[in-house]
Order: sequence, then structure tokens, then C-alpha cells
Amino acid sequence: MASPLLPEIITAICACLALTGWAMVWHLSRRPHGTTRPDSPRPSAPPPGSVLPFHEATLLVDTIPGMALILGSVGQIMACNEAARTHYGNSLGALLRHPTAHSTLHSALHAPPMDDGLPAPCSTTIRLDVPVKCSVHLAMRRLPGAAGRNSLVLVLLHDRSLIQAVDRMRADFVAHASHELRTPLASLTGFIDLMKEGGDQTDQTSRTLYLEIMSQQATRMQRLIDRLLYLSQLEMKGHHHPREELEAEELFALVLGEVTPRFQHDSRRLTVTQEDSLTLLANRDEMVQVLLNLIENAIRYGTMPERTLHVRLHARRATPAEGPTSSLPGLLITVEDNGPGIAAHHLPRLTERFYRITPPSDSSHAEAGQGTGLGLAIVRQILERHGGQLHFTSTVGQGTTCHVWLPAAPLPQDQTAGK
Amino acid sequence: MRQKQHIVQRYEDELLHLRSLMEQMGGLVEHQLSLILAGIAENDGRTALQAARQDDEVDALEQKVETLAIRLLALRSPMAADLREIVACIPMAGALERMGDYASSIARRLSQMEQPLPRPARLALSEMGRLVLEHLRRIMDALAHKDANAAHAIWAADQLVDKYCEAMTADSLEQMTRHPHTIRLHISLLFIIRNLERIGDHTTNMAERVVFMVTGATLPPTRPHGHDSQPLPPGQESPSP
Repeated sequence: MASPLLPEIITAICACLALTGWAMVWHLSRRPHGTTRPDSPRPSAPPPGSVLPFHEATLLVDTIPGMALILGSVGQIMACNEAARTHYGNSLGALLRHPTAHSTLHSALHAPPMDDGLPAPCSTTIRLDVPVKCSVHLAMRRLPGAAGRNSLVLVLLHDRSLIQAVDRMRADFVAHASHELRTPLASLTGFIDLMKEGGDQTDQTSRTLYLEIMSQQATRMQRLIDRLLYLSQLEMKGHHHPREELEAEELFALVLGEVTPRFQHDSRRLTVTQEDSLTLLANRDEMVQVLLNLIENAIRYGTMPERTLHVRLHARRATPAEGPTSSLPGLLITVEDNGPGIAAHHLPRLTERFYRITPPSDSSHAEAGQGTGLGLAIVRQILERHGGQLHFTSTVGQGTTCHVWLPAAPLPQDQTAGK
Repeated sequence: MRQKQHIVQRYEDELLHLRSLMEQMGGLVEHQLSLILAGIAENDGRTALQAARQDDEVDALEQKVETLAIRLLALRSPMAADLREIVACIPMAGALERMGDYASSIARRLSQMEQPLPRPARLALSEMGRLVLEHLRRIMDALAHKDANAAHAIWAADQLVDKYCEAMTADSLEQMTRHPHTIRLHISLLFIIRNLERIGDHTTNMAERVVFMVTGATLPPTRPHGHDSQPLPPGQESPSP
């Protein structure tokens, strides 16, 4: 006996099948076409009537000779060319989530078409403090055609850091120089006055002493100015990571050549050790500067009257835990001294500009007063540019160790086997 | 990087919107800190005060994140990674909102300074502020890239901020003992240092959420702290990651 409900059941089944079929077709049709690079996000379906289909837009970004990217309607990166990626790398995220960038994107998305039919361009300049100080000009224009949630905005980036850096350099230089030069200048003027007042009555010994001090102060001023300028120059090229390969052996030989005269003193000893075939990605001159500054500090603040100063320079491969990210191979260079050590509360602030530890009166050393307070700031600035890291460990009474982590150059296999 | 496409387009859009709101919040707080840094560097309270004015915007965004997250949970019944992401956004927005509060508190304090900050204090504050801002930037990037390793690194690195805070506090105390007429100034300075340190702490809270969001694992309740000089009571020793 046929159930009176049979026609209804059949209709229901048919309806279900139709629905499922429709859903499948709909879903399949929405799948992105073609494959994209693994790191580029999935393209959205080309909107109907689009003037510039998405894959062409991506191609456009790659073709642009300069830094460019394409943003989606909520600010997500849809495509980004190699130039922008390599130049801004870590800054890109911070740049795009900056409130000004966000409001510019909003204006670009809703810009009315101009006379030529293209949406009006919008632009802004953004300054970032981290990871490196930079200033970037963003120019945005909505790509014509797509609308609403499928809108795409082309962004061109121009680096304005240099202009900003020059401005800041001038301001910084005036501020620091006017402050830091005051003390040596006062001392100089003091002695000049003293000698003028004394006239011919100043005896030869005093005269020699005064001149000696004056010359020291003048040297200090000179060095301060040099270092301030050097630091500003380093800041200006903060964005360019050095890519040159440098052998640790070569680096140490250069450093040794520079510092050996300072260790001819009987009360000073320098030991240099390193593992075989260590290659880093670094600028040679700057790395020499780093090590010279660190060794100079060891001599300046590590010398104790009753003890032979022993400075050890050592380079080795870093363990993954020692680097900023565990995935990156690195080298660890340490500069160790057996000086009086540094109290723990000074350690975090050592690289601060003009931060000086007032030396205890008993170990006050003629050279300690010669410091500019910029040596370690320079070291840190150089290391930041290299993607390196610097930290200190110290035990009061036993000595201080500076640990410098630097990215290692990827070594070809045959070269490692050869040594 | 991007998740598989969701069949319901609207859901996908809402998730994107949630992420965009988090980005906006992060961007605003980063900008607040930048303004404070500029204010400190130029000794200009008015620049810093602009940071305080952005606080309402941060608060409003937190509300939006919360509402949207709840809406997503209620209507879309998200699962696995999506569920973790949406749930994690609520406390992360809370952490960002707190950071915004601390930032505006610093800004107000800077603008109300009776005497300008001495140069060494300004240099030190810029340094510490930059460190905190850098951690915030890194955690926002870790969130955007769903990078648990990066988040973990920041979680551990916050002890640098703690140490810096400790060093500056010690210095301030010494100054106050030596020059009692600067006590007023140093008390303000101590508050600013403390607020910066708290912002740093909130970046670690966010780091914990990012790790949870990506891996589903939770980080140990105590993290390596900068206070090495004061030994922790037994049982509270933080396990090294």
C-alpha cells in the first residue's frame, strides 16, 4: 500500500539533491583560479566587470620599478613586490597599521573619480621609530573597476628617511654638541685665562702642564664631534643590512693590527682565539670599529693598578638559543676582561648615549675621563644595522664580558669540508 | 599564511574585519608611544599630549573587537584555529586598551611637568620607551603572521624592559637622596618608568595569547623576570623555556 506521504517525500529528496548540487557548483566556482606564491595571500575572485583582474594587478606590482604593494579593502596585503619586501621587511606591518596610513587607505577607498575617470590619489608621510627610524611617503590609489569588499588599492612607497635623518642629525648634533662640548670648553677657557693672567710669570712646568691638559681637552672635543657625526651617519643607513661576507680570521687580524701597540704595556695582555672558518655577514670597517670600541672600553675601564689586565677576544658558532630567533645561524664574539666589573644595575643602560658609570675614586684612571659616552652607542647602532645583538655580563671584582651575536653567512658545503 | 577559504563569505569577511580592528588598535597604541617618544626627545609636553587624545579611539576599538568577537562566536560557531583566534582577540584587545591607558597617563604626566626633564633622564626614557615600542611592534607582527616562535621570543625578552626599569628606578632613588629638591620631578619620572614597564608586561600577556592562538598551548604562569638580584621564593622559579 503506497503511503499517502510518498509524493511529499520524493519532492523533499529532490529538493535536497538540487540544493546540494547548487551548493557544490557555487563552492567550486568560488575557488581561486591558478596557484599563487606560498607567501602571497589568496586572491579574491575577480569582481564582475573588473577593469584590472587580480592576477594582472599582482603582475603590475611585480613590474613596478620601485616599492609597491596592493591592499585589500580592510587593509590586508594582497600583493607586495620584492623591492618593498626587502627594503622594509620588518617595518611593513607597523607602517600599514599606523593610524595615518589607515585613514589614508580609507580616503583612497572612497575617493571620487577625477576628470579622467580614475579615482583620486591620496598620500601621506609616516614616521616610524622602530625597528629603525624611518620616514616613508605612501601614495595610494584605488584600482578602478572593483568596488566594495573587492576593492584593491595600489600603494607606492618612497623612502624619505634621508631627509628626516638629515633634519634629525642637525637637531641631535646641536643638542648633544652644545651640551657635551661645554665641559671641555670651560676647562680650555679656564686654562687660557690662567695663562693670560699669569703672563710671563707662569713657570715652565706649570705652562707645560696647562698645555698638556688643554691639548687633552681639545682632543676630547675633537673625538666627541667625530663620534657624534659617525653615529648620525650610521643612523642614516639604518635600513641597509650589510650583505658582505667577512671572515672572522680577517677581522681579528685587522683588529690586532690596530690594537697591538696598546698592549705593549707590561700590565696588559690580549688573547685572541676563534673557531675555524667562521664567516659573518657584515661590513668590515664597521665590525673593526665595534671590536676596537669594546677593547678600548676594556682597557679604559678594566685597568686596575694591582692587576695585569687580560683581554680575551673569542669567536665561535652560536647555539640557536643565543640568537634573536632560533632559526637563524649566528656567530658569537666575546670580549672579556678581568677588570673591576660593572654593578648589575648599570648593565641594561650601558649602550645609552652619554651614559657613564662614575668610576669609583680608588680606581680612577687618567683615561676614564677621556670617554665620550658614545662608544657603546656606536657599537649598538652598528649591530642593529647588522641585525645583531649585544649584551653584557659582569661580576663585580672579576670582570666584564661583552657578547656580540651576528648573523653568520651561509657557508657552501665544500668550503666547510675543505678546512 | 591565510586560512582556508570559508564557505560562508560573510564569516570570512567578519574574521578579516576582526583582524583589521586588532591591527588598527595596535597601530594606534604604537602611534601613542611614538608621540610620547617625540615629546620626550623634544621636551615638548604638547606633542606627548596628542597621545592622550587618542585614548578614546583605542577604547572604542576595544568595544568593537569585543562586540564582533562575541557576534562571531554566537552566530558562526567557529572551530579550532578560528575559535582560538577569536577568543584570544578579546583579552588581547583588553591588553592593548590598558597599554593605551598607560600611554595617555604618561602623556599627561609629561605635559604637567613643572620643570623640564633633565637631559640624562630624557635620553634614558627615550631608550626605554623605544625598547617597549619595539616589543609592541614585534608582538603585533607576530599576531599578524601568526608566529608563535616570535611571540615566545618577545615573552622572554621583556625581562630587558624589567631590568631597564629597575636600573632607572635605582638611579632615580639615588638622585632623590642626593638632591632632595628634585624629588617632585623624580616621582613623576618614577611613575613614567613604571607605566612603561607595565606596557611591557602587557606585551607579554599578548605574547601568551598569540602562542595560545597558534599552537593551542599555554605558556608557564611565571616568565623569566629581570629581577635576578632578588631571588624568588622557592617554587616560583620560572622554568626556562
